[in-house]
Amino acid sequence: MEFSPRLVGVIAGVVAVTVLSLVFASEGVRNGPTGPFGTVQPGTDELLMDLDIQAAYDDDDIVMRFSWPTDAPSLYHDYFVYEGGEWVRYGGEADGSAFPLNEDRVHFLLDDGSVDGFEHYGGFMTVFSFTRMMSPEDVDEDESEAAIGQDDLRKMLPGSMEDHTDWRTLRDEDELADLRQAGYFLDLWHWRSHRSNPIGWSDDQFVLDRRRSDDGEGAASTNFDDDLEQPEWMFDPDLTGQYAMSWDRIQSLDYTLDDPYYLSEFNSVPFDPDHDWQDGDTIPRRFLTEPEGSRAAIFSQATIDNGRWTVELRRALDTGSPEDDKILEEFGRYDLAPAVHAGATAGRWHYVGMPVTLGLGRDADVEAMRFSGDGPDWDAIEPTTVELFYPGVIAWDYLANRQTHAGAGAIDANASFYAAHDEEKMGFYALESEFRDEIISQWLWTTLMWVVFILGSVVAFMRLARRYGRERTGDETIVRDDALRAEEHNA
Amino acid sequence: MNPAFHSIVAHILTGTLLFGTFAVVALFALRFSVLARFRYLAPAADQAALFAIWIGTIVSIAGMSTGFAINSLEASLNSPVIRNKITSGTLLILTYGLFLFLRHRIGSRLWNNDLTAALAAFLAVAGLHWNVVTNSIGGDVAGLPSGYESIVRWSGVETRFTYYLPTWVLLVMAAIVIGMLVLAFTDRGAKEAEDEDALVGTD
Repeated sequence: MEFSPRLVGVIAGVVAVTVLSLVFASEGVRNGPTGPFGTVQPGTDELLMDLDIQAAYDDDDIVMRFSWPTDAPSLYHDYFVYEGGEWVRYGGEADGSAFPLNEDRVHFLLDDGSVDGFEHYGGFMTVFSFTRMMSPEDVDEDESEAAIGQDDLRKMLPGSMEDHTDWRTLRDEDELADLRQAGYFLDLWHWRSHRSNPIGWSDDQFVLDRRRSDDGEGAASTNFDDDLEQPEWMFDPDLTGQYAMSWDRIQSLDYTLDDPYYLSEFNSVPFDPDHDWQDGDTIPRRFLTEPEGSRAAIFSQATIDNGRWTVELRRALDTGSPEDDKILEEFGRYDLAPAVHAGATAGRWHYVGMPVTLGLGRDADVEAMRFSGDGPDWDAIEPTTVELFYPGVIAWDYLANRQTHAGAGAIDANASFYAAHDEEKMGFYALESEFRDEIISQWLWTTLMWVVFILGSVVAFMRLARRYGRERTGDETIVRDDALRAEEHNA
Repeated sequence: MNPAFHSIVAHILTGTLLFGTFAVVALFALRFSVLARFRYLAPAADQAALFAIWIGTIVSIAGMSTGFAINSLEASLNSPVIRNKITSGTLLILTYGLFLFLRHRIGSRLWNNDLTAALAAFLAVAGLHWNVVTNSIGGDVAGLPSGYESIVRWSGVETRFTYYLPTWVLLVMAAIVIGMLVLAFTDRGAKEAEDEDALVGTD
């Protein structure tokens, strides 16, 4: 057989393209065009996170314990930094920007079976394509304020609207109150490392027509006097050893849980404008006071140890507020969908988990064990590990629409999420969801180029192969020529 | 359309193309002297391959059509898994289609030239590869992920990401295919072969 340099060139071309394609196809979405948000997305090796959950209860309380790995725990949220005689606000941006200051958070939605489908689809039921930060342009705040009295559109349940694809169809207040009374809402335990935990509390909220806080007062208020354009409170130097924090230390994440990284009614004095403030002096924008009312239902305590956050939340089984909280009972089984904001992220840039069951003294994914005394013996309770994943911009109106989601029929039938997906796959899909249009365009070009390449290389190879390939004749013939065989047949 | 109908079509095309590819590989193997005594089977294998791959390719087109009938075009394009199936299904039809074109263009003499036979066998095996990939992506067997998809993933290609390449790689592919065509079409020997074709004719 003769191998001409041209034939070798053609074969080398095919091999080169095959290798090149294999290398870059394996890189996945990292090769993709920049997304519409201009934000920093997690890498493909950062789409998953493990969260350990334990639970215990006694006659009065339930205690939930969450633990997850952290390389750079964030105790920080938003601050006023003294710059050239002015107090300039930094941090707390919920826009996925490259270096945000945002507190770490763990939170979970809890249901008692009142919200159909929640047991399969969890938090995805609360997010829509019109929810804030789900598209490059949010719904105009004046328009939503005028139409439904909400200046931004946050988590909602599908049943809070007559048509869940249109936020303008939000039900009226009487209907929403009836739904809430009937239990059609999700309890939201919302632990914040900066805005409530420092004084031993978790925020307590619920989701119906938006993410709402329970009745009462929350722990965090805004530490700023708009008229005087200065903070209202500063650190008590006698208690904390400082008038203000250091902006440099904040930016290098240098404060620990033992440092005064927050401002509260317990470590502050009224702001002194006559103090000799220096550039870089930093005062927290949030001022913490003990929460009140139904919102003051969940106690918290947290540690950072061996590269892990461990957060304990304690609440009464029956808070006495059945329209704010899901009331828990021994031998009850509930659905719980957890999420974590890690790495100084906010808004939708978090990790979410599909629902797991929580059983109080009965079989469940997370089995709450009965304890006696002051608190549970956590070493005796096996943690349940839930795999969290990055959810991207996958929205409920997209998922439930047969025109946009191939699995919408399965959702109609209330099929399990796991019938077609798993967490790993969802992380990939979620990341791709942010670049859908760009990816479809690039995929079309890739498919077209493959077709052209295969056609072209086969044509090129054939022209050379017929010239340089050994032609078998006589006894070496594999299949005798059709024409010859036809002649023999006719003969 | 009931998705089960698509599954039925997929099973038919998988079986026929597997059978046809087996016949092609057997035909190619007959050129080795150790199997020379079985060469009397070659005409039958040639016809069997031709028949099976024709049927399989036509049913593949039907399979792609029924696939599109299950979901809307937008839903299909929105799904990374279905996009990958569309790509691999297209390449499946293309590779088997090229095999059929060559077989009919050159006739059974295709098998007597070592290089054209190798190309035919390569196309059939590549078609089978895309066939299995297509049926594996997003497709489970009795509720279990296909093992073949795992093999593809081990090779470094993430089947759950959309198959797409950066623009510069597409440009390199275009340059390479143009270079290969220039090499082939400026080869005097190849031109002579074409002239020879014209004299001999094809079936």
